[in-house]
Amino acid sequence: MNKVELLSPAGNMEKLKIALLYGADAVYLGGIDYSLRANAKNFTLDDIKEACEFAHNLGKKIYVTVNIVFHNEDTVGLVEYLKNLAKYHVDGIIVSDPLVINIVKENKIELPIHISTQYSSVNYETVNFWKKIGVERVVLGREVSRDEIKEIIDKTGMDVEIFIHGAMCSSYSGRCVLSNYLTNRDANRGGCAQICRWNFDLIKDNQKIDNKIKFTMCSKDLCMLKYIPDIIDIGVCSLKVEGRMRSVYYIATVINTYRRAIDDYYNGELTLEKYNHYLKILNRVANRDNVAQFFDKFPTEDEQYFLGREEVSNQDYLGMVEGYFDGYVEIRVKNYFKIGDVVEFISPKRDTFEFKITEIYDKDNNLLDCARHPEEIVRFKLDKEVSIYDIMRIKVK
Amino acid sequence: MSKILVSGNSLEHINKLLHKDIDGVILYIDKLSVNSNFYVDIDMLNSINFMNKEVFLCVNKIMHNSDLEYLRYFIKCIKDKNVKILFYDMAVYNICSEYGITDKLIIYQDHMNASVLSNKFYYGLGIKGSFVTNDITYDELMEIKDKTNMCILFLGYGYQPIFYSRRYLVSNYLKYIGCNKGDKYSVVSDMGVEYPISEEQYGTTLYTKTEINLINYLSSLEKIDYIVMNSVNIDDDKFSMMVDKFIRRDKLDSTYLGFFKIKTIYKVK
Repeated sequence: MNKVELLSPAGNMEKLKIALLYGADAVYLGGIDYSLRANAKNFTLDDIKEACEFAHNLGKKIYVTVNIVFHNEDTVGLVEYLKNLAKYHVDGIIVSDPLVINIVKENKIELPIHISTQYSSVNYETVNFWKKIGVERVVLGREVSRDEIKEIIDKTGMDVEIFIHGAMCSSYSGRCVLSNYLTNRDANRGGCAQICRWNFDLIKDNQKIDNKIKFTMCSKDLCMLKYIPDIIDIGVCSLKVEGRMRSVYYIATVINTYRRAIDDYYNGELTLEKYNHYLKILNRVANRDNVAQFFDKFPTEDEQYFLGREEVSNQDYLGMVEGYFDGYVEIRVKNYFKIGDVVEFISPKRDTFEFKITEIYDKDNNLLDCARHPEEIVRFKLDKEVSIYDIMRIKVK
Repeated sequence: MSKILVSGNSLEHINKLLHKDIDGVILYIDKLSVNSNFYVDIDMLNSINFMNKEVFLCVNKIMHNSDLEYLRYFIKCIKDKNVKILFYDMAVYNICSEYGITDKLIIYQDHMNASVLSNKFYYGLGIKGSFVTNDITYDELMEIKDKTNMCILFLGYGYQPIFYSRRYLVSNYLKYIGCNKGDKYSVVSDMGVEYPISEEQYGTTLYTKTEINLINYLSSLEKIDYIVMNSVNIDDDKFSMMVDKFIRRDKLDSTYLGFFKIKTIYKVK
């Protein structure tokens, strides 16, 4: 059995590199056109070429989302675009509109096709249909349970990808155009305004419900850490993390944590203690509560938010390592830290370790009592060697 | 001239509508469809006198594994009938292709099928009809009609589903705040706009703020094969009156057109 793939989002080149360095086996990204998440920075063709070279040098893969629902005008330039993706050896495209399948076939473009979760494929007949017409992988809708996923895999033999972490559409993906009708932004062409997270008054039998807690369709985020062994055992081929708009720190932390959990499971080392530690890390980096949603039971009110968005940003991300010279680390400051703080260094290359800061210098070698300016470069003595792209964060207790 | 297809709110309502000068009816199938006030099972289907009108059976549910056995049974039961099948999920196509009846199929995906080339994909599979989304403009619609061989259906009157969730969103909320259930619901946005919301066995649907009504554009829609009138959220009498107006091609002062004349924007920078 092949080892399961850990698939990370990448909203820009920096996040892509971080994702791959921190343990993703593959990254999915959007081009400037034809991709949902129109608000992400997204990648030019030159960027995609560079991304492929970077990933392939590491033995990893790049998938490109071509996942809008096309209107007539949107197909202009699509053939050339797809040909370029093939030329750069993109490892697959993720599509929700099947017209792309025809274009790929008619033009003999060598690009493996993955069906997006936007198509809401949640049964084995549908997955068998995709298999019959040459699709290589199906990203299942998020409304499937563990038993449904297993039955789909058992009855189709198809490569199946599922989401394991991140924000959830409250609707079946693709079957929501609230943005279109409430804000004139096309949800299925990258303009989703997340109306499902708005508050509404509910009218019941012509009477407004008078309650300080408003009606919302907002769901809690997804976290499948607990079920990683089960997901691997039932034969899922790829585990996808949501969040092309998320921060570098979020990507590094979430990917690194799942990387370790997956590897530990394969190595027979995923102990309860380790699991609890990983869960703590994921919970700290999350800005909303997260649960397993449809995987282990049918979602109820417990899987929804009713008290506002409850998004909490934390200051765990203290800095990014810019270099290590003569026993001193150079850090690009992200959040406040001071002498005496106990911090952790996480790294794609080595185990996490903790360190107590005893001195901090600015770039002119002035001694500081704290680092308070984001993006400032500071340095301090560190007896263990670290590398560029290692991250310094608050110690997770 | 376009034919007129209607759905109804009950068997009695359907029977009344069948006596009008409409061309056909859409029936939503119990356990296999969503977003209707009225569902029929196979026995009821066999008992209706359709008065030589065309019959369109709607199986627009997103199918899960547990639906497939009944879906297969249903398709087996109706495969030799003179009906068309409106469907969302490609599981329906897969099973119909086994029975060699893909020519009965009409793709009906609410929001996922919005272009000439998408329709060509489905036509290439042997699907001969398309109930095209109302998320597109008149010009886009006509381009689909002109550049494909699809038989085109388009919503001319009725509420358009704009959000469909597998979750029981209304019940969840009412339970959370400790409030009893009611019969009829809507939600009101910060801007004071009210949207009907309904919860059924298979989840929750939110609809447009009011009925889309293209009655004033029927002459420019003549190339469209079928104009659909959907009765969901509309009481019987009001709906029946509007059916009469559509048959007469009446004109009304002002109606809600959805995106018929407005393009959506999608890049917000």
